[in-house]
Parts: sequence; C-alpha cells; structure tokens
Amino acid sequence: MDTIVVEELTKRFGPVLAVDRLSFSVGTGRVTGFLGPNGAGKTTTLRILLGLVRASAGSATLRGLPYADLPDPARQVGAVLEAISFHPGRRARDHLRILATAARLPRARVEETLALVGLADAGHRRVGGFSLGMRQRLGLATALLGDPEILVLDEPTNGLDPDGVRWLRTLLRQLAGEGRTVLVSSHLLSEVAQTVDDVVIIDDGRLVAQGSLAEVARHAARRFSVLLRSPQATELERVLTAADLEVAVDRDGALVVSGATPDVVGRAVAQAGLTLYEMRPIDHSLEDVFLQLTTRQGSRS
Amino acid sequence: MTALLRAEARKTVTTRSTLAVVGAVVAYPALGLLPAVLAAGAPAVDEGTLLAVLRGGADVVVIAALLLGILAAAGEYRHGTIVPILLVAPRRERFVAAKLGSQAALAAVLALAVSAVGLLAGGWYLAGRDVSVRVLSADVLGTVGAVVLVASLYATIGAAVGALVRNQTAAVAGALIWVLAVENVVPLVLRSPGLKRWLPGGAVDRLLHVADPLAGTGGPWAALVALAGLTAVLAAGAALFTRSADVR
Repeated sequence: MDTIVVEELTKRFGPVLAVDRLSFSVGTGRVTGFLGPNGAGKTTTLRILLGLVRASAGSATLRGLPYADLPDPARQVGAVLEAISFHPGRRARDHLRILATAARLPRARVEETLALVGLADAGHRRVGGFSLGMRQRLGLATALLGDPEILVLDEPTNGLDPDGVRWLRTLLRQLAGEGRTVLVSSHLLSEVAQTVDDVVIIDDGRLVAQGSLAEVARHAARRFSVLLRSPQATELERVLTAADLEVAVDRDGALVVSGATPDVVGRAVAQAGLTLYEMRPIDHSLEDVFLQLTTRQGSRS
Repeated sequence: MTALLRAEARKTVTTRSTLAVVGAVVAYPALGLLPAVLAAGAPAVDEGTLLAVLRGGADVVVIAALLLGILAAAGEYRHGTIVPILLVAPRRERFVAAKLGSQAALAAVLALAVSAVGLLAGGWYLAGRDVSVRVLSADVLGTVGAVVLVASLYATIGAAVGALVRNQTAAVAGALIWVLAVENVVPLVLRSPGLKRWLPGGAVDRLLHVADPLAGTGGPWAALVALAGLTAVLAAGAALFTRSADVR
C-alpha cells in the first residue's frame, strides 16, 4: 500500500516550470530517497505535498488526503524542510512547547523528543546560539513531536558532522523498522544509499527513475553501457557501429557500448558470428548511476 | 482554535524582544510621560492632568501595539517559523485568526497595564499636591476603555499588515511612514483637512480626545465604526491572502 502518492504534479513559478507532471508513490514502512540535483524540484514537490505551496496542476496526497485535510496532522506527519525555522531568541524547549501546545500534544513529548535527538542538555539554550547541526537535530525533534507515522525530511544531513550523519542513518532505519514511512530528500545519492530502501530520482522537475535502490542501479547500469572483450575487436567495433550503437575502446582494449542493453548487443554480435571472451554490464557506482540519470541531456555542469 | 491562541500567547512570552518592548511601554507613563506633561506647562494641575497622562500613554501604546502586531506576523516569515506552525495548523485562516486575536488581547493587556501605571503615577503625584482625584471617574474609565479598544484594533491592523506584507522591515517602515507622515500629508495634499478625521490616527484622536475641537463632526462612535471597518477589511484581506499564497 502506498502512503504518499504524487500524480501528474505540476508547479509553475511565473515562467519557471519547477515541477513537470511528476508522478511517484512511496510505500508504507519504507525509507525512500527523493533524489535530484540542486534545483531539480525536490523542495517544491515536498512543499506542495505538505500543503505549503499550491500545485498548478495534479495532486499530492498522504494516506489519500491532501495535507490540509488530514485530521490531526501533527500526529500523522512530521516534517523538516529547512534548518532555519526557529526564532533565534527563543529557547529550544520553548520552540517545541509552542508547537506541542498548538497540536494539543502532551507536554512530556517535548522532553522525550529533545532526548531522542540528543539535545536534552541544550533545551534551555536559545536557538540563535545553535550550530547548524544542532538546528537540524532540533528540526528532527519538531518532526518527531507528534510521534508521526510518516516523516518527510528535506536534506536532513545538511550541517551534520560524520557522527551526526551516522546517528541520523541509524535513527531513520529504526523509525522505518517501527513501520513508519520515511521520505528523505538529498542531492547526493551516496548520502542516503546506506539508509534508503527505494529511490525516486527527479531532474528538471521530471521523474527520471523510481524503484528499489538495487533495481534502479541495475536498470541504469544496463541501460547505459556494456563491456565486451573479443579477439576480433576491430571487426566487432565495425559491426556494432553499423548497428547504430555508440562504441568506445577503453584503456585495456575492451569495447564499451553505450546506450544499449546486453541483449541488443548480444544479438548484433551473434548475427555477425563473432567470438566473445566477455560481455557484461559495466558495474557503475551508485553515484555514477545517479549522475548519468540526472545529466542525460548534458544540460548540467 | 483555543490551542492556537495558547500557542500564540506562549510565543509572546518566550521572546526577549517582545518582553523588552512591553516593559518599556508599561514604564513609559511613570518614567517619561508624567514629567513631560507637567513640563509642557500645566501650571494648575488638576484632574485633567490624569486624563492627559492616560491619553499620552495611549499614543505610545497604539504605536507599540501596531509594531508588535507587525513583528508577530511578519516575524513568522522572517524567521521561517511560519513553516512548522502551518504544518501543525494547515487551515491557515484559523492561524490568522489566532494571530490577530492574540495580538489584540496582548494589546488590551498592555493598554490596561500602561493605564494602570499612568493612573498610579499621576494619582500619586496629584495627591502629593493636595489635588483631589477621583481615579474611577466616568471620564477616566471611559478614556481607559477607549485606550484598550484602539490598542486592540491597532494591534489587529499591525498583525494583518504583517501577514499581508510578510517582509518585516518593509512592513515596519511602511507603518511608521504612514503614522508619522502620510496621515498628516495626505489631507494637506488633497486640500481636505476633514479627511484626517477618517484616517486611523484621526479616528484614534476622536476616540480619545472626545472634548477636543479636532473631533469635529461624527463623534467617537463614527470614529469607532471607521477604525473597526478598516480593521475588518485588513483582517479579511490577511486571511484570504494567507490562505491562498505559497509559503516558500
């Protein structure tokens, strides 16, 4: 069952098309990475999902409802959109108490969430004196205040040190292990690769890929290049080029065919009656896959 | 709605800047106004001195209420706190109602506190000069009631302007320019001195200075209707705008 469903979502800011007929879904109890380069439309999509920005067209729902129609939303959805959503002159504990009061949550949740994010000893301090990492933790405390079933986090690792990133990974896996749905955005696949079950990758406001992390990696790798070794390399290169395939020769003399799957390459080789010693999809790193998916049209530096 | 009002009240008491402004305004009648009233030349101090102190305090309370309202609403956008509160309360018209209502209530409390300090300081000063004072006279109570009313309306106007403009600096600057300059200049430019009576500042004058010749025609009730009408229009505009505008 899908907890978050985005359908044909479009958002225009004047002449700028920020989100372009975007559709994807997020399964219950999964940690899903929402990935794309800076400016891809991730934050706009999340803001529409959370009812902060109006869609130009399409819909974004949580448990079948727009955010504004959720009964008691703080108990259902927790979100962190940026690390600056605090009055600098207010104490961390007061910030949480205000939201707990507005959401009719028990006051005890304030201390519980401060402890959960490692800020139990900093609750009395004014947020203006917090580091970016501490603000991220306070943002997470805000999101967790209502003990929600769904978490939406926009670039939550920004400002966290390596220990903080490790702590966040563990926390997110723990939350997903409790059956919660987590949607976490990032512009770096490597940042979330150890945390997420699924990925949704967007670029220029459009969906580029969606699926489990392993599926997307496999699919993308196969889609983009196949490595061939043959004692008839010159003849093989001529045959593949004649079949409109893009062929390059690597440093070891192997042929690398781009933009074709192994079955297409295999058929061309078989029809030509050539001998192969090796044929395999190139094992891209996840980051390679991500970069290939999001720079296909060469529009980004 | 009650929860949102309580949350807004908590916001007010958990920021030092708001508390500092409130403290300064409350202390104003005792520390600054009374000596000024006397120095301005009221050789024969009498019960009217007390009303002058109350009305002088009201001028400060009204400006403070306006600015506190702007800071409370536009500050949500400046500090980004609008995001977490709208996630908790996504029905934005309720949030706007709570914001405007809480600011009106804060201003009412502030006006009562300033009036109380003014009455205590003024009463003590006059009593020390053997001037008989009826602190709870109809004039005094009527003036205090008017101060509370205009302060609440100005706070509501301020919060509505803050919600409409969103940019805190622009909203504060615009409000100060309006209060200090535009209200005085527009009637002159339009060669219509009577117009001032219907602008917010003129309406306040009519409500507070009922015996003042400036009050002219219409009287305090017409002034109240004018000020309340402007407040209602701005509040409705703030609710409609906040409801439909993107929070980016």
